[in-house]
Amino acid sequence: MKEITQKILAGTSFLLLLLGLFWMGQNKPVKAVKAVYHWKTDFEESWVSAARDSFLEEHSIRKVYVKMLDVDYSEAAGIFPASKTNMPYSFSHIFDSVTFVPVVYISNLVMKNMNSSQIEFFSKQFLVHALRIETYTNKKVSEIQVDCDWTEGTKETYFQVLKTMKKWAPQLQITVTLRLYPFKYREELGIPPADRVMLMVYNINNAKKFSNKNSIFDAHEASKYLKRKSYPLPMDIALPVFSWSLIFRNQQFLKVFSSSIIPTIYSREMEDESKETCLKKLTNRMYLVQQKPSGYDPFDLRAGDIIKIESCGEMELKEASLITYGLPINENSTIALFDLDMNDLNQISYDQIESAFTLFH
Amino acid sequence: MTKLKALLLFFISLFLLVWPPKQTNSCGFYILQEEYRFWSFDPSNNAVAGMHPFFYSMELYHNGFDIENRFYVNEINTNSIDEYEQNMDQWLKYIYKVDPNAKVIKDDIYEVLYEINPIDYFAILDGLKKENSFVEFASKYPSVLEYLSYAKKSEYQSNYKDGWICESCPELVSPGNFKPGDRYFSNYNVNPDPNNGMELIENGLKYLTKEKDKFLQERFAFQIVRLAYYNLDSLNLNEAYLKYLEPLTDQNWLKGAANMYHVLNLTGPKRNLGLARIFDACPDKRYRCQQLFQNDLFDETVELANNNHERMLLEVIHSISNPNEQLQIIKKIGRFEPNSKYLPALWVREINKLEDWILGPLYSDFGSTKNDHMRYESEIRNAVQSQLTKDKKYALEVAQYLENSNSLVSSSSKSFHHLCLGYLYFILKDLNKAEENYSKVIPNELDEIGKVQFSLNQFMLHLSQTQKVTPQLESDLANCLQLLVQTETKYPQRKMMKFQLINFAAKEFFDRGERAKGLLLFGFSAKPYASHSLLGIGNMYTQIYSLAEPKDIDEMLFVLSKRNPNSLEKYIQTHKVYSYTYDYGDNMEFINKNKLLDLKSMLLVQTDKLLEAHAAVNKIDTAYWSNEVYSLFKNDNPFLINPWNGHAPMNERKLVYNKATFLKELIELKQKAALAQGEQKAKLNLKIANAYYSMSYMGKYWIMQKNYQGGSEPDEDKTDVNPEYYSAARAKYYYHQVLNSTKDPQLIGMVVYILQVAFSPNSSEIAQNKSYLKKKSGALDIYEQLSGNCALFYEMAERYN
Repeated sequence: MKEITQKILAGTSFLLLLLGLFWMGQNKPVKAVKAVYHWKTDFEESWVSAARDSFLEEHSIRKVYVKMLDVDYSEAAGIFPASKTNMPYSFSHIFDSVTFVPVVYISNLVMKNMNSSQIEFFSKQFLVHALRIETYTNKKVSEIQVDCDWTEGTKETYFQVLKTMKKWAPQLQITVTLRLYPFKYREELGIPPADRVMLMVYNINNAKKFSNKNSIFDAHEASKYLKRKSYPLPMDIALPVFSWSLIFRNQQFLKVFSSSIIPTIYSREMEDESKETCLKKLTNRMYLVQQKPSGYDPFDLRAGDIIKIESCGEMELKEASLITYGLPINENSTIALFDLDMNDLNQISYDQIESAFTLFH
Repeated sequence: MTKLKALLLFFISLFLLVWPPKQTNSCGFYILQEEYRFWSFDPSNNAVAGMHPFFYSMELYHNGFDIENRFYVNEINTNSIDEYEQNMDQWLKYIYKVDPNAKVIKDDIYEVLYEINPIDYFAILDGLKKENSFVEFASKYPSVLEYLSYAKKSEYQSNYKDGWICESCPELVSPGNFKPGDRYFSNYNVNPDPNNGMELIENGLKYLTKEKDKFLQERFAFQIVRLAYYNLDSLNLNEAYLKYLEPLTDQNWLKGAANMYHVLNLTGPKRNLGLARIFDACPDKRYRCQQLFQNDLFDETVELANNNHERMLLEVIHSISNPNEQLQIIKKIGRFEPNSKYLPALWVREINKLEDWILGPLYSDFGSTKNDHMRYESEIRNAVQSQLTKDKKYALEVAQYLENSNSLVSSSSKSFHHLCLGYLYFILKDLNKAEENYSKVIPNELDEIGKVQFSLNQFMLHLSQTQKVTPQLESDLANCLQLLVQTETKYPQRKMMKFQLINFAAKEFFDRGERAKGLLLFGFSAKPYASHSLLGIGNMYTQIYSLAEPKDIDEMLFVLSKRNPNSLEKYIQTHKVYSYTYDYGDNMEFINKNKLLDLKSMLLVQTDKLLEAHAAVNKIDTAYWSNEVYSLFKNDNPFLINPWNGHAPMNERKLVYNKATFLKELIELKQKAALAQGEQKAKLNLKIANAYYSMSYMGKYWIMQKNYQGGSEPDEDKTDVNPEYYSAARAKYYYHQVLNSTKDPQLIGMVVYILQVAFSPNSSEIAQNKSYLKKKSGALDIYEQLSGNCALFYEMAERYN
């Protein structure tokens, strides 16, 4: 049964591709602004320089969205900054031709637990933490993006936060990310009070749910959300090129790391010649931590933790690009790749990345 | 010439890089005081738990020292109460009281209480309820689960800083108006948001009122005390502590831990006195209490003390803060409480000081750690001597105090008391009194540490009492070493004790005529015992080179090859030595017999005993000459020299030599020269002279005489080998022999040129050489042609070789 389903899905994908190629022949490409996301917690200058010299230059990318703050809620801590991106002391001398857009990721739990008296305080916190990027780049930003997977129950609080941010920073464009779900169910989830939206053409399934499915992208599922081709706000599009490692403990989602966690653990354990005993491969995308790594462990893993690797490669990028056909994209729109991880991007050909940046409409 | 100098420098640098020490100890080399401090009396002898940080040390607090890796280690766990263990045991007891059929495992309790951070705890709580036996149990008892949640929130509030603090963020002044952030500023000591903390205290008080279970009540009270401390809420802190935790027994960790917050909330002498009481009640908190104790408020604190026990405690804390003589304070402590449990540790502390101050200079070139601050060479000798006299006087005072306090010592401590007293007299070299006290020690009255100490002390005494090392003493030493080796995992300090004992025994054996075993014993110690002008620290081979005679090395080889060795000889045969560097265990190897033969040959070459030297090197395995040191020397011809730079290679014929072939050829040359006449004799003597020159400090085969060479030699301190090595006097003698035998003006011109250039002649020698040349027809011309003409010199040198 599982095999049949896989065959059907593969067949559907192939048909979509053919269809896409046909459409391409019929339509003109749109030259939008090219962008990438930086979603790591360390913004290392050396790494960025390397990315600039190779990827950003090659593809003439002029806009980089940088996640600056990750906000979560815990019963222990209340609303707390789960991570703040480490910035190099100075990187003003690089990226002269690049515009930075700081991004604040806010978990929906935060919205659930934020009461009205806290909105003012936290909105200001989100703003100043996003604008922290100016301290390091010596460049004024003109846009701040907020990323939140809001729901019907939290939309009021979320929208209030967005309005408050705008109130304190009227000179800035406040843009928000838009998942496929709120794109489709806009009547229920509302239209966010923002200047623009960035449609994220991925994250179909719930990543926090412990299952063997790839939660990042499923073309068949995603296309169901994109039947309507308009949206009341100007739109940008983000396409998936990333992989991540989801950590589950006691079958509960705990945290997420970059996919480099696996080679990092392996390379460290190789020194002790205990590679085999540290991680056990359970399936193609799941590993069991068999023993706590010796010495300092930046991932704070425990024996029994499950690491689930999910990735989006060339195929998914192509599919995601195709299903955006007809969306209201123009020369002022931005097409962004999520995210600037050279390990992931190196797996994809130059032409494929270029064609993803050139959507057909 | 510049090229030759560069080559010489390169050669010397390369040599320093590969010659025995694999780590070059050049400028910047230093050894730490704890590396060379002499001690053999285990500081943990009779110490009550928690006193480990206060053992005598040249560091602020005692840590123990891993000498092989040169870093401080936390060496001794003096049986402190482990709060975690006790808490988990209390939980287990509680769980089985509540539900005798519960199946909770300790690891799960540990995970929840001490491993999972508060944020993760709440994130995976649903999973924990299924997979963690402790949380599974708690989920059946709401009040327990409620407590765990409260404890985790309290943990976050007490241990984590407020993450919203951000100095690098811009400051929002008014809408649209931001003041730039500071990228270089970080604030590390941020307290959690006090509003959250106060709210949590309020919630805790509600739980406390509602909760009837005493076990949970105490724990809620503890969380409130901790939260109240961090939120400066003295009222709730005191109320919760005094009502729920103060009545607990001193042994209950909850009381000690809560009392710490309670006391730290006080100020001035009251706080000091509180710390002293905790110091007494909680061994695991002694270190922290001593750190927090304000010595400048000592007198005011003593005035607050309620009784002699408290006065005693204050004196103990005061005393362990001071590394100098503390007898007067120890006497006070004895007056306040003659049977104070802290006294034995304080006696041992004084003993450790005295063995450092008095025995240190005897068993280490680096002396007593006390002398380290005496900077000026000219003052050191007098200052050390004067200090030593004072230290001995002080040692006698300590010994007399212990003698006088004998009647006050409890019967169970008498043996240990005599052990201390005996060793104090040993330090003072009053061996009779040492023996008298040791004879009163009943080993069974000593604990395990004391028993081992007694064995060591007896061996040290017996060795000191004899003129000659006996088989029994060798056996005793082997037993002591084995005893220390076998128990060093349980007692890590014994590794250092082993090295201390070896350094002691090696010197005492050597002094008593057992030179071979004494010198070999040094190899088994990683602790510095000898300074070395070039390497910084001597190793066994440099000690042998400096102190042994050829017959000692024969004796060493005999010991190493003995078929029926005694226990000490077996130890020497079967254990690896710290061969090339003093501090790295991974360079250890068995004693190298080839290296010993090589050292022997060097000593013999120094006294020109070439036949014996040749016999020694002839026994060396051929492979030895390919090692990393000799491979640098073998591809050169020692019978040809470069007068401008004796270290420069000069081997046109690509000859290959090792010490054996070199010596063989030199001996044959000397034999032939003895029988030859005239020009033939002159030619042979030229080669002999060149060979002796090569073997001198200035020559490329200096390794024939010395086992290392430094770039700054020679100077007035370098007198460890025959001065001939530096002056090349033998070479000069043979060059003169050439002049006596030859009439060949070319040869005369060349030899005088060598005497003028390759040596450093004084003005009278220069005049003498020139006057000699004038008498020899044609020789002056040759001499002048050779000046600065390398090609001509090489051509002539080859012709006469």
